[in-house]
Amino acid sequence: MTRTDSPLLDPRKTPVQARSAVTVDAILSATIQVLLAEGQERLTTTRVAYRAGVSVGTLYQYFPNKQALLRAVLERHLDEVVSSLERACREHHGCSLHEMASSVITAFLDAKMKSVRTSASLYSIAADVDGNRISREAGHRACDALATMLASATAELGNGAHAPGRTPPRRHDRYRSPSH
Amino acid sequence: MRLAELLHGAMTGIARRLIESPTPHKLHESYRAELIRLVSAYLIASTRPAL
Repeated sequence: MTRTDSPLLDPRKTPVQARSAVTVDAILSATIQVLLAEGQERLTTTRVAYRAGVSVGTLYQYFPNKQALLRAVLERHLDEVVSSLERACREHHGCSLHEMASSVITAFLDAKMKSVRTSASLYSIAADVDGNRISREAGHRACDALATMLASATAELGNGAHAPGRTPPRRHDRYRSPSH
Repeated sequence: MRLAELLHGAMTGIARRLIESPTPHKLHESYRAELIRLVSAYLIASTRPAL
């Protein structure tokens, strides 16, 4: 979850920081619960604070408004999905292309399907909370991980340029998005 | 567009269709299996050197 635009979440002493993380996590979980139970229109910072078991003042220490809450929830969700994908990519370096495809697709869909209702509700709010930018950043991370994994699939490239010990020129770039 | 971007696009597109379908849990396994089959075939074909 990106927090660089929030000076209230700058690093603190470790115990305070750990407690803050627990509080933020509770607030974000409560936001999802209220979003699912009440819908975006009826979601308020007061309802979220009540559900999270914190005061509204505490909530405002971390999130200035409802939009910031929803954006943070979307960021956290996409971070979880991409982290799962990155883990699958790391674990399948050098495997066959079929194993790579199978593992990353399974990891990605499982992460998305972990809570279908949450995923569906986040699709619906994305347009209101700068979702395109958040999705694009998550997409860059995902494509980087996929490109690195695919570049390790030497076994099936078999054109003689990838003998052990040789680094084929710019092979890695074959799998990258031009924007990277 | 490169393979990583294509693969990511395919996964996000299918995930959205799945999640927004009326019966996502019922379709999950068949969508997953079909996507793996198609992507595997495409990756292998794309990385095979031209004859």
